[in-house]
Amino acid sequence: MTRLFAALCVALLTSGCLTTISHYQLSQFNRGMSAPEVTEKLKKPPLISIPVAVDGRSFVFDRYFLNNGMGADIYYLAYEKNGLVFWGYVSEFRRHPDATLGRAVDKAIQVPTPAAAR
Amino acid sequence: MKKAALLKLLAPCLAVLLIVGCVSHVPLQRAQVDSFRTGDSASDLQAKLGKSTPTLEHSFDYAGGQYLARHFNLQTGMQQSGTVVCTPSCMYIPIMVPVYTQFVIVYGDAGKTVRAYGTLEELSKSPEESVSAFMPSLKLAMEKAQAEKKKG
Repeated sequence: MTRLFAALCVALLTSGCLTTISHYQLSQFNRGMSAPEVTEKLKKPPLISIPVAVDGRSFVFDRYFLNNGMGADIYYLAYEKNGLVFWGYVSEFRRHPDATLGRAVDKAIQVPTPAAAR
Repeated sequence: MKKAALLKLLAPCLAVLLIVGCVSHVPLQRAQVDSFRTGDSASDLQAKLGKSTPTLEHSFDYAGGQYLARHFNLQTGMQQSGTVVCTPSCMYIPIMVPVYTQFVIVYGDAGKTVRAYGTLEELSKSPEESVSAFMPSLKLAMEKAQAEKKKG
């Protein structure tokens, strides 16, 4: 019984760690970083990578869950020409002076996260 | 007996006061940050900083220019922590602890004017490309300065 309880605790703890990133990790990113460099920093792959084409430009949006202390929020890392261009919550993309990024994130959010990655 | 219990109760309170009193860096407050402007002279900004003190200072080079980075603790809130004191019956003593985030001010023009300011994350993803471009150099220099500070 104790073993079962311990296994459940470990499973619960690790499932959270596997799918969420933490706020302190966000300051490690630099514009122009490649996706493998970012993944190495985060020590985990995105939930899903979403290619988006808007206004003649092509982006890839990597979706993560960001730990907010109580639960997790959806967080995106956007790449253009294989380099990181911006990262943030959906609202941050929409306020970005490059309006194409806002339109692109609106397309990305429509793609559901595969059940296996959640 | 009563005196001993009171002393036991006072001990953690004194410890907290001592810890708070011994904090060597005075944090920045959001109201101060709201008064900053890019292009402020170093002396103007120093007046706005008041008694706030940096946690780390270092220079870094980027694209042939030399910059100065001053890191501060920005107080973003308070959170409740606590300790349990048993004298011999136990009681919980709540303690409010400040929450900080790292904030950096970058001076250009040989340290004379403010080039940029913000958290490391804000500056790294700044839409102003001339700012986000120097952040990898700033972070490398910061890590080096932190390591030297730890050593010394």
